[in-house]
Amino acid sequence: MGTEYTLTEDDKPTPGASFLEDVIELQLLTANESLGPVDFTHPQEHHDF
Amino acid sequence: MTGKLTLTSPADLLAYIPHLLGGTPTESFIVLTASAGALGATLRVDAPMDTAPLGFAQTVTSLAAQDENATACYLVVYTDETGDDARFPYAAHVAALGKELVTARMPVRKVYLVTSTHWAAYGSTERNPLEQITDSNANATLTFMGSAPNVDVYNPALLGKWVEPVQVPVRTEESVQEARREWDTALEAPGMPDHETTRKLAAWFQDTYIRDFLMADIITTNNGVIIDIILGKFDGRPDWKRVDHAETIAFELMKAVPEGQRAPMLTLMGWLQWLKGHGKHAERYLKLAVEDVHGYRFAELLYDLIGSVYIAEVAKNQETAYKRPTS
Repeated sequence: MGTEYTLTEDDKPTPGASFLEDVIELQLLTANESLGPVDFTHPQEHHDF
Repeated sequence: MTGKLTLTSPADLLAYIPHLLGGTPTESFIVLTASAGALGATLRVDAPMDTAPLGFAQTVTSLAAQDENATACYLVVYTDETGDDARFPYAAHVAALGKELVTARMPVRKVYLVTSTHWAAYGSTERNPLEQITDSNANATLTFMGSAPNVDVYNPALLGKWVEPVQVPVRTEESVQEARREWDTALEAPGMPDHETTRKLAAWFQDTYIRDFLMADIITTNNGVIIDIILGKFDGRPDWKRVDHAETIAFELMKAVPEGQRAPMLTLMGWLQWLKGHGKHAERYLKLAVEDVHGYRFAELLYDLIGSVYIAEVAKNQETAYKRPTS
């Protein structure tokens, strides 16, 4: 709580502004080919096979 | 889960997968990495639709290679699209993937096929009953340890149909701070906030700017850099109990508002699922968000991001990744 977040611009937020949306939009410019969502999990404890 | 689980049969291995993924996959490829007799990471991707075998195989291999300790792997194909030769569905993709995984020094030890009616060693004429999986020692042991293969916070039957909409608050510096304070209090307290607080929080989530702060504030190990927060790059292991609590509260907030105001909470739940490494569950929540508010931008963008085979940074590392709580 109380973290000061680093924004790319220092202007006042406009109505409907979303810094998270803006960042994702930029990220998508260099995104991979769409193959659908991926699940990636690790063993909960030690599992042998 | 505590203790050591020993998997001694293919049915054991197949029983293990739903416990790790939080549900039985459908139309999916699973790669289970392995090293020195122990299993490593579990990777699930959608079965290829129109993707060429080589491109598919290279992408899946690069994802599986996130487990740097892997020296071998198992491949499981879940599908009912068995085509002309039911023994070899997606034959070209399986062959290409096998080659790529060898090149990446994690050769495939075994390939299995699971359909909605049976399971088999890939390429064999076996038709083993699925009961062998549910009745396996591994399934019984995991269940005894407190693991459940299907865990879901979201239950649409609990959502009210006749609920008053909340009034979207006027955003001021003070209201942003008040929203963050109330949200943090709710996350720190056991149980659910009272009705009045629930409605207030649901109202604040309607404001995109405040919503962003509330989402970021769930992760106490965030480094304050927006791009890192959204991609799950944190300063250490998140407080996953707080994350689970946030997800449960988000569903509680959904119960306090009518259709058309639930998209922010559904998007939050989708993002949290993705951070946990559960892309398929995330996709489902994000679809529901866009159904709730047509064109809800944040959900659409996250949907595109997650669909671009992104794995949250926090989910890649075993030390920081989510571990499912046991009952």
